[in-house]
Amino acid sequence: MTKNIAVKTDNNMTVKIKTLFGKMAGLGNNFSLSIALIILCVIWAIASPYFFTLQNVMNVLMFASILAIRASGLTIAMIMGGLDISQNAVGAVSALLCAMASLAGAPWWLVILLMLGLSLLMGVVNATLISGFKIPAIITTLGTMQIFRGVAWLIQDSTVMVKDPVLLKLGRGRLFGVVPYIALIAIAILAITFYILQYTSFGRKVYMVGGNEKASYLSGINSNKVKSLAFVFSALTGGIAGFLLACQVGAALPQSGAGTEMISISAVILGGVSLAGGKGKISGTILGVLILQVINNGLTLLSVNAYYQMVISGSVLILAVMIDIIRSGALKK
Amino acid sequence: MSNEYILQMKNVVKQYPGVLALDKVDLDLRKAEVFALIGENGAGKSTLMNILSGAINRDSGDILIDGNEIPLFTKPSEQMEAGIAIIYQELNYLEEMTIAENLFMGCVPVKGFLKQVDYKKMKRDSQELLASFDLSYHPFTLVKTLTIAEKQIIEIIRAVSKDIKVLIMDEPTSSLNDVETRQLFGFIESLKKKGVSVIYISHKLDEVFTIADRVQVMRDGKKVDVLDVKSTSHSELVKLMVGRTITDMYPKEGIKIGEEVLRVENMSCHITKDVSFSVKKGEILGLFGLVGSGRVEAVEGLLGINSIHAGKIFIEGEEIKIANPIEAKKKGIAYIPSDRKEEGLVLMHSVKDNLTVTRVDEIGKGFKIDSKKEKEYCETWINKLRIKTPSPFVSIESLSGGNQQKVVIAKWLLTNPKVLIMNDPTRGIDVGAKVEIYKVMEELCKEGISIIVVSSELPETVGITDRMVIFSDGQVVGEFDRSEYDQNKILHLAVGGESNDKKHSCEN
Repeated sequence: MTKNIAVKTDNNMTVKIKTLFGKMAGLGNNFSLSIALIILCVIWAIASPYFFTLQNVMNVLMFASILAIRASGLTIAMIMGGLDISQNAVGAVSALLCAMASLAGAPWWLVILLMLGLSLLMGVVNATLISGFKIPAIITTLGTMQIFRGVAWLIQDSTVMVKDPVLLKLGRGRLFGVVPYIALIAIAILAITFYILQYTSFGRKVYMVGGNEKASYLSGINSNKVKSLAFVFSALTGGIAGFLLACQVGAALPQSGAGTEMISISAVILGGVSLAGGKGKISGTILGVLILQVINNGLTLLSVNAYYQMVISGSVLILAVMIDIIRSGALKK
Repeated sequence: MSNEYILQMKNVVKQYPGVLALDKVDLDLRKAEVFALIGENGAGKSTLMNILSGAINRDSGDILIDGNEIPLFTKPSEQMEAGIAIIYQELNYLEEMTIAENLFMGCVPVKGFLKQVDYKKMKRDSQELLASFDLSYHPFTLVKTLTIAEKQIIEIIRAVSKDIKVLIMDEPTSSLNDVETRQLFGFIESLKKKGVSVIYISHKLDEVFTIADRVQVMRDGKKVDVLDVKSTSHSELVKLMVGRTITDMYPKEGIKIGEEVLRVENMSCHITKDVSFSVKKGEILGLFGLVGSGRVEAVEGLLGINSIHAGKIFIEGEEIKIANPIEAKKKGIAYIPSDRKEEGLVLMHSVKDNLTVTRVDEIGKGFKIDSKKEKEYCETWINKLRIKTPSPFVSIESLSGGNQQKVVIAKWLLTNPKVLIMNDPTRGIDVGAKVEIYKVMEELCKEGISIIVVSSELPETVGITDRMVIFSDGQVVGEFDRSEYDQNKILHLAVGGESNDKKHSCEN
């Protein structure tokens, strides 16, 4: 009897250990990214006593927030199998028009509604071209990126100040004087994205269509609708990010975000979303965003030349993907 | 050692983690013979051939080519020098280039100091090469203008132009129609006359009997037997492959057929012209025709994948319009595509996700996917269709072909379809698993579902259908009841032979 029980518990233990390892292996990419982030933080903390101060951590969060908002929309678009590089231009147009509306006397809530509406509209343009006319997403958004940016310059070729106190508070204020409101908004958007991908039928369909569009279509999934919604959502996050940036800076600029389109893409890829679509998680994207932001923050604290920061950020991306490829054993084939 | 054999493999062993892929396999190949290698998926045919081509290395065992030992570790390039070439299922050619450029891929003749391409020499040499096989193409024809069979022949010529002793062909006819297959067989005969030995891997036993001299059967990584094709039979080979006697390949049970469920009237779309057919409750209807005959296009029209120019579709007497697969699904029409990996499944996702994809909208109503319902669907259908999977959460890729196909069937049964359209329902599935699929089809008919089987495989269509509609050149050229089935007559119609039946069916 006793022997039997002993064997049983033994088995239970091995099963438990196995599931534990299974879970760790399941985390896969996220697991190694978390380790990388921790190591990075430790190095920075040793290198700079200022790194782990509350002030600096909140700064990192604040800067990471704008990137995280863009990246959450981009994550859905990329799991769908498409790139969206027009996000920053969408942000510039809506921020500019909103700042002008605000200056003209529109109340803050109307300005926010206007921002959402404008971003949705530009998202619909992208979605129509991509799913209605079957133009590849990267080409569509390469085009609309330039169009929207041009429109931004045409509307106003100079800086428009944001003066509304509510909007400024949204951009610069902190809850209890500690946590930036922007960070809270970013966390909310990330949580919504997580929920969409994990628990809703739309999220499931994003994974299915991204994994195999034809098979999904033949299974009676409205793949055009799924694609459209994904790109509308992506533009929406682009718009929100651009708007919040203007509130933070206190001004909307036509050139806002120009040239940094690739940073969001880097963060999402670093987080493990496959360029081919079908795979990826929002948790990976969060880690990707944090790693890029922490690297930049640390380098700034150590007063490293900004040009080196670019070199290092780029190298980290390539290194991460390289490790992933080596680990998957693809090189051996 | 006898000189009779050009190639000898002895006691070849290949161990993968957890699987003994090859267990002391022998293979003896004579000079200038066509040697067929058959077996179910996973029997070890491909592993054996990949070892021979140098793509993977064996763990132990000897390989002798023309009496010369081949070392344990080799690369494909070394095997090629030893005189072995392999033609894979997926062809390897440059569409936008000419025949001559494809023939000389990797060894383009050059001249002069700047090493310009010597087009004159290339043209002359390729003309000679083509002529030696009695082919009269212009060497500068673009490869993309050729048929698949012709492309295949160009690829084989490229291989044999390098003084090849052994040519391995892995299921070369999988994308060829009957006429092209005959063309390829003629070409293999001429290779034989030139003294080349061919190892021919195939699933189709009919082909083995047509082209091969001897046949080796493999099962579970072991060599089962080598037989002279002349002294064996279809059923003996199946028995050796499966390891048991399949008494009833096609388990027809004589299910009672009911009222008409679906009727297509005078439909024209894509290449089909004015086709009509109908299917009754509990009936299996076969749409048979060669590749390009319009049978696939007809069902694609029915499903709204192709747009219909003319014609009407009725379900249970009511006329309906179908613009896309989403509407087809709503009307109770389910479609199982022929290409399971490209069109049937999302390979990177789980069994559960694939199984429930057709009803993801219903189970995801509200704000959250109902995981209880998902689980319930999975359990029900995994049991009902006897799908072998460790759990619903494993990747669909890890299942065998037969079980993958069952998941595709299950995902459609979830929608309670009235009509199930199956395009090539057993493509790439083992003989044993095929019988399983046929059994499932019979069970579905018993429950009152109508099935339309679209196929270019005559034995299968004859075996499982109750009625057959024959397509040729985009039109319906005949219709037979099970009691009137006559393979010769059907094939004759399908290849475009005239018949009285044509008139008969047009009047219908």
